Amino acid sequence: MRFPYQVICLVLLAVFGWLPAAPRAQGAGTPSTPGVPKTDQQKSGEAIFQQNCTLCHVFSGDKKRFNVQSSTELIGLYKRPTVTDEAVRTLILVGMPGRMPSFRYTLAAREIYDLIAYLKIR
Amino acid sequence: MSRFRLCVLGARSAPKRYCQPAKASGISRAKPLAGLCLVAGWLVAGLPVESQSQRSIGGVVTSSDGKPLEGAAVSTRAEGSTMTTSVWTNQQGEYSFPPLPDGRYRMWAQAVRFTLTRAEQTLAVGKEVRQNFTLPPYADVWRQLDDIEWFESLPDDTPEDRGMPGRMKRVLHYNCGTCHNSGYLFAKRFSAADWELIHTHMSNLTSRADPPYDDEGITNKARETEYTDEAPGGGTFASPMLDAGGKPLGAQKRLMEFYKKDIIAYLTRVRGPEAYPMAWRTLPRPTGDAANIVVTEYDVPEGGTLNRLDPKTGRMTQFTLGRDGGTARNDTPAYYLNEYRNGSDWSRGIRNQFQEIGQHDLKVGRDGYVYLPPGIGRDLDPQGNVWFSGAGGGVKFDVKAETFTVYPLPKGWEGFENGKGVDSQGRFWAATAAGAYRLDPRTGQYTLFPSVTPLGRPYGLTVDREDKAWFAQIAVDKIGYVDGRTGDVGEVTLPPIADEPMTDEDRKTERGWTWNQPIYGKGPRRLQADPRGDYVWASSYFGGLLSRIHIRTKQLTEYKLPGPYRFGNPYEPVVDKNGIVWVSMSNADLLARFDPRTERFTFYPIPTRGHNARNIDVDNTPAIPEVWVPYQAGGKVARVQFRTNPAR
Repeated sequence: MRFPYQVICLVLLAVFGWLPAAPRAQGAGTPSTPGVPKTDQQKSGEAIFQQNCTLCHVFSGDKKRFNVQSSTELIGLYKRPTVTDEAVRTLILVGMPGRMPSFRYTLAAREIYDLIAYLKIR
Repeated sequence: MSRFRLCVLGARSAPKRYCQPAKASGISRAKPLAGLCLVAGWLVAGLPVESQSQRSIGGVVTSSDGKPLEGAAVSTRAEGSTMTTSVWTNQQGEYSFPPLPDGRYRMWAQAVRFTLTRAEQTLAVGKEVRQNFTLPPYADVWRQLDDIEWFESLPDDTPEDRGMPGRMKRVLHYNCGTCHNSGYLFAKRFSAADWELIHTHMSNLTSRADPPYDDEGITNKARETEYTDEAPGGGTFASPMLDAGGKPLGAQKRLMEFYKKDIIAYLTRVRGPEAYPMAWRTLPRPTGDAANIVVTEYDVPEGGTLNRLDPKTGRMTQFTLGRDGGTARNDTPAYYLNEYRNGSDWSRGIRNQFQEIGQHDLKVGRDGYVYLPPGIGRDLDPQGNVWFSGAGGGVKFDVKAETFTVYPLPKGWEGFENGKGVDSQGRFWAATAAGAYRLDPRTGQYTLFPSVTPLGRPYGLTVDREDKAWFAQIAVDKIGYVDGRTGDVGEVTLPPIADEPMTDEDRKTERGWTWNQPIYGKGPRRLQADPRGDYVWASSYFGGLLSRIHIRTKQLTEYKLPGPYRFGNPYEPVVDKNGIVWVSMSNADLLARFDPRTERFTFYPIPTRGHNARNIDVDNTPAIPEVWVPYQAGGKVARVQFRTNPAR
């Protein structure tokens, strides 16, 4: 059972681990601007993101302050061609050992769908 | 944590005055005719001016079995409005709103263990409006819990409690509670490995509040002595703790590491992969006087500059200091709010419109407005002008001229800490790493008064009616003071907690700064002097108690918050014209009232989950004083009014 799990983690790392710097709204040196949720599902997803993700997935300009150099701010995540709903869902459920906790015990299925809906427009 | 760490911009010199006239467009600039026109404009536009209507909405709230629900919250908000009004039901399940302007209203009723139920109503001429609610039961009660209900529900007899029931609640409260409301933390469940990962991240984060603390070394300069700031209070730790690279750990990370195994084991046991048989213990719903209130909540933006709120309309005006020194005046621009994040629906279990960056302070002006300054710490001077800090110095906002004046700190002087105050002579006081600063606005001169105990982390500050400035030293459980008339300094020591569950090892742990403390510590944070009396009141955030100090004899009396309220993080105490002490609670959706004559607390409900109240104020203008509460996490400020009609 360990082997497939490690394979999954490696695949997830390959997909998410070295995301390019998030696109900036107004060029280098200005704060990143996440997309604004419009639907109820996106709003719910943003709330779940704020509650569970923001202490690590901080804005790029805050990385040094929060001492989280390795994470990304996840703005423009779905612009990356390899990112799919299923990959994101798996990452949220499985996490990355030593890097990101698994949310399988915290988030209900509906909450993960809402979170993905938000990540698509973030 | 000071969010507006100041940089020093100028030398000790005359203040920079920024007196570019504001653009006239409001009623507060001594133009009565313009003001009348504006009020007339609001009326025509149908905006919610309270005197427009005497109609209201009332009804009954019952559970599914038809029994009346006492203490249920009923809230309403007009279409297009930024104001939400909430009331609570009486013993018969009845509620009634105060008079509301005509309009279309969304309504909702809720109580813990019951499903939020919504309705819509229209208030119009000649129409009596009744709206009853029937609330079905709600299964996922944990989503609705108040933060102290989480503490009530946690087990206190686990192996990690080490035979001291309740020890681990305190360990978590003292190590996690400064940054995280309980519900934010305990609603999550992780494996042991993941809790360890999170602990490591938090431990690294909290170490960022460790030294160097006194960046400018002003404590050393003021005392002409070299102080080591490794340990709170000055000095070094007797037994160093080293990280993997051999570097000594700072004060806060030492505490995190000391409790690491117990924290991870306890969280994995209680909030881990295996469902722990939690007994959800909820507080009784409000009854009697505690339910006989009206809370009006106003949406407000994150802050960052001075906003002025008109309580009658909810309209906000924003004042900003331009690079050219001028003061710009505008309607507060539109801002983004997400109702899933604002705590109004308790079952969403999510309470972080602005996390820790929402409105921290407010001050009720003498001109009918409520001022929302940026940063932390504020006061009014004898003329009613608003003082706070920013732009590298003390800042005065002249409420009549609507202009800022900045009084820069001298170059090389350590910046302000959180507390600010103004004495009877109009001199501005501010806490700083070395003690307290006093600014004479007539000359622009700052004077430093070093604290008796160095490096105690001065925090909140207040000035009493005899011009003594008092400041909490959160890291060493002391309250310092400076006699503004003589320059004498002194301090009052709060004794350590001795009557709560802790082991001998717990008692030997050493101090942290502001985010982490040993579980015998109290953590005095904010304090306010009674402007008409002889006492200063301080709240101990970690210890869950109020301290009263006589301003002349320095006699100390302490009052512990009862039962579960001990974990409510009492924040700022403010004394009203009747001598009643009001205390904001940052880890309970409650407003505390303490009557010094009866020595009894009463707790009033706040209708937003995870509101995280901070620096409050009292409006003594009405016959019955009203309390104003900023929600740092909830993205709102609230006016709490107390009704006298028991029948409602």
